[in-house]
Amino acid sequence: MKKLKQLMALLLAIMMLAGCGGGKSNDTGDDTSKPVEITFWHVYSENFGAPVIKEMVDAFNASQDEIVVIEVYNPDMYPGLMQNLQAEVVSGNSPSIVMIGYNYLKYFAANFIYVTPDEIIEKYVPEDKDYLSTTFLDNILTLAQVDGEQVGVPFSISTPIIYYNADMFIAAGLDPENPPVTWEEVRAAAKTITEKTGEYGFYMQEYADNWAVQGLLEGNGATILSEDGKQAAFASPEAAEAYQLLADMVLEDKSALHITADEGIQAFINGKVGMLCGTSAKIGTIQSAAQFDLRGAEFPVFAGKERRVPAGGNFLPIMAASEEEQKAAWEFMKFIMQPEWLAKWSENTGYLPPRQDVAEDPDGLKAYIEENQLLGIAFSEMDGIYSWVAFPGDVGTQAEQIFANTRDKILDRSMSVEDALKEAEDALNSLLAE
Amino acid sequence: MKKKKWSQTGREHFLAWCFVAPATLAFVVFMFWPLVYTLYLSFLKWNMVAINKVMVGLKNYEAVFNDPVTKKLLGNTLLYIVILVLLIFVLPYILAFVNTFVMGKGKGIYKTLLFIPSLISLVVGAIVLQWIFNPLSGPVGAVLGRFGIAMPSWSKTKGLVVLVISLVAVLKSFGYNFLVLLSGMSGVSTELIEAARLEKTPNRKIFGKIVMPLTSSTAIYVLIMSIVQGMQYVFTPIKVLTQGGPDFASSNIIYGVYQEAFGYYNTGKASALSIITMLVFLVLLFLEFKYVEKGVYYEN
Repeated sequence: MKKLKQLMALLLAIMMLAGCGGGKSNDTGDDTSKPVEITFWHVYSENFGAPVIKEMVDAFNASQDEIVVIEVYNPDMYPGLMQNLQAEVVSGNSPSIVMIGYNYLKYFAANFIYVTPDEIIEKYVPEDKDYLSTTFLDNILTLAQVDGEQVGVPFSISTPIIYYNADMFIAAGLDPENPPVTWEEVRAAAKTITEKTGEYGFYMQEYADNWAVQGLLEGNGATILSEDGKQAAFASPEAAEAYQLLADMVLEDKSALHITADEGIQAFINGKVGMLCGTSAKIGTIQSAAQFDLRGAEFPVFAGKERRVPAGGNFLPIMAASEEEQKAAWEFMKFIMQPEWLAKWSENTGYLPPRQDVAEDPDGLKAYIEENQLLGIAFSEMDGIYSWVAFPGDVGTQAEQIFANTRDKILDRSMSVEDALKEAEDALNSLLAE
Repeated sequence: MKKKKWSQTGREHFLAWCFVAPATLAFVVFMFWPLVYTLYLSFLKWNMVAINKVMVGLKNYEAVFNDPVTKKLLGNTLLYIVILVLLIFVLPYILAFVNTFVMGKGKGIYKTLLFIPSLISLVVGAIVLQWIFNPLSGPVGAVLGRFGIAMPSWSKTKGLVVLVISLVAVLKSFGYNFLVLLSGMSGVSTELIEAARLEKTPNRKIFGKIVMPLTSSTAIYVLIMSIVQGMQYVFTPIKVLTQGGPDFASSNIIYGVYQEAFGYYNTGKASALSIITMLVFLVLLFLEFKYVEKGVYYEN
């Protein structure tokens, strides 16, 4: 009896210990008749995009029997995927295709091992020599380039647009058929709305990044980085002038709101703000919730200056190591870049497709855009799209945060625009110099 | 048979080790090893993927001490702790007393009502409070508007943002702490209270002179848990609602460590900051054991 008890205790302890190890008997049989398995990492959850991703993958797997694609969801958007990717790469099994946000472009290129589409084409599929240049617009391709090298293929694109509440325009005596085009007109319209209705006239999204701010500053001729791309250069008179306009709307006119993005969008949906300057990726969300006459206008410009619209969204680099996997990844990539799949993706999410011909393609978005004015607006901005600035080196995300903090300093009046920009630029440059 | 077993101390010890081993192993693997590894990382400059880990000595610690953000983080952390100790320790302590010794009817209902919010997950709680406190479209703003008061946008107001984020943690911890304190109160013998009542002792005195000393062991547990949980529970609402903004005004040490490590990939600086945090808490714990623990009454 006693022996039995002891034996059992020992067995239990051994079993517990054994539970920690083991499980490494996965055999990768090199059977040539077996299909190539590749993994595709994405960031879309069940209620945002994932059903279409699954549909694409299933359709591709059913369309041939040499390649099997496995889609893997990573929670918490791009930072979440980045964290998982760090861990997977350290443990030695990179996924074959990953989805990277444009703001992580430089960080990804500097820290991970990938194979460029050009290398794959050159080595294995010379017949696709012109695929990239004939399929995508040049300015879209540059979104996924670092120093001229094509890191991956652009997949989803979002642009900032103006959403406006036509009912509030009418209540304020403004013409909803002629929304403001320039920033000066935006300021005037916002002021009118505030004076006539007592509600806020304007809100520009305030996430912990500078995406929309970049569009504002660059539209006035400022640049975020110096010409060689190695230093911050946003403390220019042009940038200060543009930022001052936003600051004046918030602090002088009291016609613009200074609040976090989720709250600002809630307030707009509830008819408490006349105009919202935000990402086109929210079209679906806002459309389904707004109870008023919702319309869209293009991102504003400064009088006499060119429209500069930063691109949000993601691109797809290939990380597969072996030849078969790289070829397979390329096949899959071309499959999902077909107009009908990109169209389905856009309709489901509100993202713009990387190919402009999707808009004209009858299999694509033609009919949908005619019905959906907001998406049409986002589409018309496509030729003015520029890269979302990715600060160079390892400190990119920290730099983004420092720059974003200047907004809070300016809009709560604790610093003047010039001082705040100068301080942030100096802080960034000393960080980048390390 | 039993007697024989007790005499064989060697076997007994062996068996004891067998029983202790799984828990010890779990502790070593999941607590002590990460601690040692964090200490190791705090001397490196490394971004979690680079192949080369650069040894930088104490540079990370220097960076932490010279960074003005660290001061902000410490200040905010302290503010969070003060607010939370008031709202999830002092307040439920008083309410538990009222519920146990002062209230006549409806005790059960109040217990349930006060506990229910603890069942809400932190993320849900954060989003609900964000909706309630939306200065333009939320109900609080609407009520204040009736009285002609414009509600400030709390998410961009220094100080206020800390208070609202604390409320999310309050939602989560209040009910649980209340129940624990309530069970502590039930250990106080009613005879003492009745005797005091006969002497016409006011409730204030009964609480201060009788109930508080007798429940001090429960109270000290809840106090420490409030501080620790308060630090951790505010992490979720910070991440969901403000991401530490405006300009670090709502960030605390825990969120600061997270942001350094997984936002900026400064593993070294993040580790240095967390080691410093741990030292601060070790000192606090030491002080607690040295001074507070002496005055605590343990029934057995």
